[in-house]
Amino acid sequence: MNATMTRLNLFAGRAHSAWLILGAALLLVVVPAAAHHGIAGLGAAGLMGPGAPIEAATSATLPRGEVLLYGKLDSARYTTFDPDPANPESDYANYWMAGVGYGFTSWFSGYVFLPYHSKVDEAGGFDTHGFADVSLFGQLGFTYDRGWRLIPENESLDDLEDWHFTVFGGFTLPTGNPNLRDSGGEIDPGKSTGFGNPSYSIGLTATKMLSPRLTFNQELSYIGFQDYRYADGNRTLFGEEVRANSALVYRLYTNMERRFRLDLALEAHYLHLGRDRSNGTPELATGGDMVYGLPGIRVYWHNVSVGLGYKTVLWKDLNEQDEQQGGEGTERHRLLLTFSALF
Amino acid sequence: MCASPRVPFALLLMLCTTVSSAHDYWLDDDGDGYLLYRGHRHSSHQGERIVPYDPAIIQRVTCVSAAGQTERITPARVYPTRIPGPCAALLVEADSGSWTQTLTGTTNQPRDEVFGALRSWHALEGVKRLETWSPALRRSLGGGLELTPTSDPFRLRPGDKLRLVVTLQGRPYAGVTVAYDGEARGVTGDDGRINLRIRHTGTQVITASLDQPTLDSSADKRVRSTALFFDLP
Repeated sequence: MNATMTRLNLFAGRAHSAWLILGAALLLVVVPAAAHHGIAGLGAAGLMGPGAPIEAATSATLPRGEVLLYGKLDSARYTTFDPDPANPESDYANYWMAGVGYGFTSWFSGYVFLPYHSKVDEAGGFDTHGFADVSLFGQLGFTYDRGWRLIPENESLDDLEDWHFTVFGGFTLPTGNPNLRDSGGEIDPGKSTGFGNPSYSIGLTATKMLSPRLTFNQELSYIGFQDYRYADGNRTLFGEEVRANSALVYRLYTNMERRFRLDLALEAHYLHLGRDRSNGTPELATGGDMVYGLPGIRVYWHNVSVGLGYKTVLWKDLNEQDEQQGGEGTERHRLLLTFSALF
Repeated sequence: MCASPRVPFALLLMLCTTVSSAHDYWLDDDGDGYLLYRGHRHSSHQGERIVPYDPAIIQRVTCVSAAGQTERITPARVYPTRIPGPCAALLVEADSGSWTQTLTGTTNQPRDEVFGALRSWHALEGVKRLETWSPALRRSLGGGLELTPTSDPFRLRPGDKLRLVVTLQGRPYAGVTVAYDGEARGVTGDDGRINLRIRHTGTQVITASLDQPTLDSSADKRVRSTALFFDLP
């Protein structure tokens, strides 16, 4: 969904539910989940195998019979423009995500994510907090080794150097609250913690170890939404989201005895947000295109992985750009913290 | 097995790369035959280049001719053991007995005969050398831990994958750590298979090892190791 917000309506971001993307191969995982409000990207990597980006989806499925626990915080702080305290703007938003994944086979994994969103305005504004829409995802993994094949149960480090791909898809359930009202009784869809109707997503990932230390990763994904009639009778259809996220991950340090690995990640995310429609009419100051840069580090220790990233807008071309505030493309920065453990 | 295949690979590497038998075996050309040596020619750890052995440790020698005929050979008990050829494939299986490590070094004696034993193992070793390929070489030749290509390895070039099956007593065996040029690259799956990428021309050295528990009081564990050699132009 398009999270661009106008300065006028003071949107602070939207209640996007989690969507996931999986990452790489063996052991430790990094997850994404949730449109611009916390994309869950799953990635697994062993101490010597392919690296996993901080946020972009990777091409790893979970080992058969293993469970992944995932947590993520995507903390966005927005640029403000109007110093008038009578006109509070979106200040920051914290998009929390908890998830569980399971490897049904070596080539198919399933995930459930539960987001929690806090959207905070400057003093005097409208703050919302609450659990957002639960999302369900499935991921199918392939590799290319003398032809296309489903990811086998056992791969050597040399097998992991091959191209790996995944196709994933999922949807959200309207478990959040789309009808939160401010002090004036108004419903602001952008501040809600639910979409009202299921959204759906599909995507592709490709991953290749370019060298024993350097991994390339590419994600293409799409999220679509459905028109929803709110309790006040108005309808909103959020614009579609298209992502093309590229990443390079460099294995900086490995200590086999301590089962420790440190990676550096550099990601470039292209995001297209379609224009929202309100009661069937295109809404001004929504949608646009942008590119983010995301440097980060990822640490693996035993069966746990922690990632930390700093995400900033490198380029943007938003619709009615001067009128947008509090959404994608108008952040001062985003801080990303992910945790994953495989059992 | 040292660990279940479901154990993460990185963990498996840590568990399984501590093979302490630590001696390489290899077969050198000797005219129309081969000489069996032991030492530290290919392994990454340090040690004497040649470590003499008692020829009595040799349990079985199997030679497969270019026509696919399998022959058991009983070599003369001399050191270094000479095995007559030519063989398209030659497999030597040995039992070098119990080894015990102490603070002062490692000795070829059972644990219960050594003072100050830190750890001990019973070493069962194998070495296979391929000269040419024939379909008969797709099956295992011996009874110990063994590495067998599933197709002609002499057609491979750097960058290609060597596809192997690891067997024990002739059956595929899971959970065996396999190394290329001494670097662990993976663990066999339930079907005993693993793929390794050829990195260079010249002599290809593939090794595998497996720790097994033992009730024998002379050693803490049984360590099976095997090596596969072949040359690529």
